[in-house]
Amino acid sequence: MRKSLVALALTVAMLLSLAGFAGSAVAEGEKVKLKLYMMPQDDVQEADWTLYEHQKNAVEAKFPDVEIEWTRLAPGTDYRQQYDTLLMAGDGPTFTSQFPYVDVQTRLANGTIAEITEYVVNWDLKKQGLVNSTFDQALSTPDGKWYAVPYGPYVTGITYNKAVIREAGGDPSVLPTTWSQFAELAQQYTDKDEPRFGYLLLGSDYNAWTFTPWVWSAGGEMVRQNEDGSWAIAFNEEPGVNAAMFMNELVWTRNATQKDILESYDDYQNHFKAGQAAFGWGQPPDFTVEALAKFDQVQDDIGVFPLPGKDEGGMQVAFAGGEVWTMSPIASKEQRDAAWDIINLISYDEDYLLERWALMDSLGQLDARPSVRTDLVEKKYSMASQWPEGWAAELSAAMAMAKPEPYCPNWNDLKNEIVIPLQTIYLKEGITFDEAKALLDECADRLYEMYPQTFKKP
Amino acid sequence: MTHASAAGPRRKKRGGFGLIGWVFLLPALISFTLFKYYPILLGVFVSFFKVDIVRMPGTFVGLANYARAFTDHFFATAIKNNIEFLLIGLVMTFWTPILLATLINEVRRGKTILRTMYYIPAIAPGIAMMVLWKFIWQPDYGLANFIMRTLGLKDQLWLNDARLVKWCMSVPGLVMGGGMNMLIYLAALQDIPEEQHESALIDGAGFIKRVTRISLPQIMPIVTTMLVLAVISSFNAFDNVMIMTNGGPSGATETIILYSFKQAYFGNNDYGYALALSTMTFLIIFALTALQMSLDRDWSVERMKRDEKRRVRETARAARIGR
Repeated sequence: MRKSLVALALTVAMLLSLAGFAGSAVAEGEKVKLKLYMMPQDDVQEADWTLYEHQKNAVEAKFPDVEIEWTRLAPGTDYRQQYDTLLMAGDGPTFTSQFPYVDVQTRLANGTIAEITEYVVNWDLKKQGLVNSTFDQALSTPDGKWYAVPYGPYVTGITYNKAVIREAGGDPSVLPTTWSQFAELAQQYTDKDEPRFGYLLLGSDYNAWTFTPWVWSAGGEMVRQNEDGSWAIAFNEEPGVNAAMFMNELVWTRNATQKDILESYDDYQNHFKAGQAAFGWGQPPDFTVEALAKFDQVQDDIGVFPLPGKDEGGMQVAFAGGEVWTMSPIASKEQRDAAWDIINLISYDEDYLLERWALMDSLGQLDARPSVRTDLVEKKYSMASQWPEGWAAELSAAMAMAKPEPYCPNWNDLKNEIVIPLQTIYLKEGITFDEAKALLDECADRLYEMYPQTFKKP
Repeated sequence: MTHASAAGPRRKKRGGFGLIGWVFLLPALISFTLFKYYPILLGVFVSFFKVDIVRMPGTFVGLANYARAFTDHFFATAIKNNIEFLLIGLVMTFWTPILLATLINEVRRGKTILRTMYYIPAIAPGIAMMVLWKFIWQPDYGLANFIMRTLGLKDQLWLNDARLVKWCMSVPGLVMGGGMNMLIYLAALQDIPEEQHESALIDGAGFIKRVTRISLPQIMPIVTTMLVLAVISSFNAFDNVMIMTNGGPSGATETIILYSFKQAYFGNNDYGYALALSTMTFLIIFALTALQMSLDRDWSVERMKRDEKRRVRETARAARIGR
């Protein structure tokens, strides 16, 4: 009997602690309370604090009736993990620009972001065609429901370091346009005693991110939508296998990359910043003056170009991704209304944007993300007085060849799953095309089995 | 009366001590209940749900999460990896501190210096040491391959080689944890009465015989405890794997806890399944520990019986000689 009572008490305690995570309603006449995780971390540059204060002051001045708690996520932990943990506890940001647009389909399915259809369908800017629509399909459902709006698209390609190329006896004005040229140059620029690598290979958990555009440049796709709306896996087709085999060639035949596929993305970026590679992955504004100065590198030496095509005349391509604004599913109606107004100010108000870009430029912090207001894209780039010569042109060229990251549900699961076969293919010396294909086929089959709602064989 | 008054104070004293004892225990009890047992029980409870973050705990799915684990080949791989980590740990790092402690115990001079030397790496920050070792094993410009080249040997991929990675990862464990374990064994060895060794020396027993007949049997309870801890720590492996390989290359170091963590926090936020995996890990560790302790108990009883028989035989022989 006593044991039963103890068990009952424990169960009640658990249920009580699990229940009742709901958004707080706003009483009449009370200020709407929002919680924003936009405060920078302590170790950021002074300029980031200046920009934060500017944004905070602008928001508070425009919305005096909204009470905002400005805070930040704990440093060093994955933002998705923190968002979910906070949400479980009935906490977290009322709205956020953390999530890449490719997360939206998964998050709308698991209910961790709110539906915001009423705001989007009545949005004048959208009706006027002034909102970036590149990711629209990824942010909505076929039945017309909306879950996010663009925050900051970006374009990445092959970054290069002119100083490193010159040091290796190359000519930085000669950039490869085919895989074979790329491999030859990467091999020529490599000197492991320095150490200096022709191409920095990203082999860790993020490897699908950089692998995807190589598949595109081979003429393939990672996934392809079926007629019924489900998705077929395509990375195991010939172009995908060719792309994986090309990476293997760079590692073993050309000896033009590092062999450490366990390196984190931060370490990867640091290698590039430190001038240890001729070619890498990213976009020039990732490399700020301060970050490069730590390694005696300068922005003038950094550039970007689209991935080379597989063969002469083949498709050159860059990669488009980006974050979106989403709202918390536990936010009240009043909180969402206020959040929507703030989103419009921060990302879509012309006067505010021009003022902010001017400030960013004066601080040497103007990023290369195209404005989500389509009518202000050129304006933003024209304000970049401190960018090194050539950046605007290179970024525009990359943007013209950019292809958006696939956005199907479980896309992140697919990316996680492909890490293992890619690592095996990259590091197995002498692997054959058939062996590589078998590994990718096996991975594709697993995905079909694990996510039958999303992935279906055509 | 005398009898009653003698019993009375004894009862009172026992009762008073109990209450004070409970008062002292209360903070620890509350902390353990709140921060250990409650989360554990909550975890087990949630493992029966398909978790809905917004409407916790979500949909009750019974044993579905547990059933899924049995068909999940990644989970099977993770268990295999954990077992391999344990076995490699036993080969590489478990017996070394015992040997070291035994040798240091034999040293007559400089024992303190040796003890300190071996212990110092244990006080270095673990994460810094693991990062350092990551650089040592770096395949392109790491120290390990520099040594290989100097010796005229072929470069290796080390942590990037699925066959070598677990062995490479256990080396920092030996350097970092070995000193601490050596101290524990040394303390146990020093508890053995000196007279036993002296008697054995007089009887002509050599070093090996003294170690196998006197030292090892007497520190066996400590060895058993350390073995239990090694099993638990091996099945809970997370931080070193996360820092050094994040489960790679090609999943070769994906441990159960790391896999469970990734199920919760990467991809599809499958918290229920992650908790089911953690619960299963707990049961595996519990079963292994119970089995190990039971075997050890049986072995100890056997040994005691054997020792008793030997003592009886020796006493009888001594009596015969005396007669």
